[in-house]
Amino acid sequence: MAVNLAAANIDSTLIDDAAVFALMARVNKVVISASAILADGSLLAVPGTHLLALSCKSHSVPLIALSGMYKVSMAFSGEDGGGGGGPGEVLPFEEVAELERVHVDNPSFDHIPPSLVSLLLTNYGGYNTSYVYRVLGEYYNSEDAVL
Amino acid sequence: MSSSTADDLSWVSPLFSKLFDESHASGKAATGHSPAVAAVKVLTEVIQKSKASTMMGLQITLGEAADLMKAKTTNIAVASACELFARFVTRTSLDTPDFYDCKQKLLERGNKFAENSEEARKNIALLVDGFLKDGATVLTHSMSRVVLHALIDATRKGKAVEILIPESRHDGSGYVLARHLRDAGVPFTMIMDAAVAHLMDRVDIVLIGAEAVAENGGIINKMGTYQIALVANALNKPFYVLAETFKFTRIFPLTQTDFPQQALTVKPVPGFEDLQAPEASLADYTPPNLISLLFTEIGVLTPAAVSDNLIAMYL
Repeated sequence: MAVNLAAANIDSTLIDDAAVFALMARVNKVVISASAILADGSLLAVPGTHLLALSCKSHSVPLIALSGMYKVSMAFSGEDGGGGGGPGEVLPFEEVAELERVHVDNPSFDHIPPSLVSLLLTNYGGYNTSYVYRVLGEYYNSEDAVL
Repeated sequence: MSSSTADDLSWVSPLFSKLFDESHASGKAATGHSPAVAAVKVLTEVIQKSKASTMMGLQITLGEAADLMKAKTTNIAVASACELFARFVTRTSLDTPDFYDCKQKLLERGNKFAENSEEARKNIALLVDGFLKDGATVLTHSMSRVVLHALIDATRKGKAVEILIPESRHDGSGYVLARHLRDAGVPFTMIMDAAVAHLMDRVDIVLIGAEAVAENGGIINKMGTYQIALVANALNKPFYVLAETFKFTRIFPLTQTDFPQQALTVKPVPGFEDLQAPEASLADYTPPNLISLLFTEIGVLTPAAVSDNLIAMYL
């Protein structure tokens, strides 16, 4: 992201994931991309986003999620979630030879509850997370809820 | 001015009382019917027996019968079922100008209502299925046929669900649910009402029925529901309500006393009869901000979505 911004002549400051909370006091707004918007207004996003969202809430910083309308889904957060990525992405296989008794989890998504999101910005406009059910009604028939 | 052959409604109250008692918490049969269905059954009988020959006459008679039933109980589901049925009668009379055709349609719909409510329970159980994971711990409250159906369905599908049932004093409606689960061969654990917070850590989801669903998505349910919702919220546990749409009512409570209260006479714990019995009433109000999702036969709704659907039903 930093590299791409620089290519567009935009200055940026790169920080470690662990420094997010510490630096949140200096932030005015947070903008993220959602992988999916679930039917109750919650988001699926890149792992680490939930921590980011909680930091925002703690500092009362607005969190804006960007997503195309096509990402709005009829599924609910409680339903069977996605699987995970391979453990090799977290812990390189070369290092595992020495390790015992270590289980590696690599979730594909973070789930962000609707209450942590200030605004959903889509190509059709901005919505509150509590409005997602209306949007869904326009894109899906309720009969399609259970296939 | 009522017609000269005004319908005799003396049989309405006794029939309603009989059906209502069968539907009530301690008498609730697993596949029995809710008080709302009892009310619609009575209204259908009224249409069947009515000597009215105009829509207006019929509507007046139905209104009188509804008043008689509402005088017998403050149960909100009964009042809302009567109102929904009255709306249905008005809509049908506008669509079907011929009186006898209209009467036929009303009878058909009235007779199907009980069947539809059983269908509704099945569909709700199907929707809940996706949220009930194998090995989950579920907390319930009081007796709810919809919740019972969902739990039995899950067990039939082979899911190992740990069910925690608070006693739901003083009518022991938790025990009624327990008895039905036992009869269906589903294992459960009884817990004290006061132990809900203590055990909430173990719980994965809370499944609750509802007597009535308010316009803002809040619910009226057996006393103790609000308390459980507060605890669930405090410990970040999902609080799911299972209710058929005929429970949607045009009430908008802002406080705990903003809906018809039904006082209960309860006795103190045996051995302490010389002391004052607790003040008791039947139901409390759980506001929508404590409810995660509502499962209805028209789909899974967020509390915000309830008012849209409610308005659609009543217009």
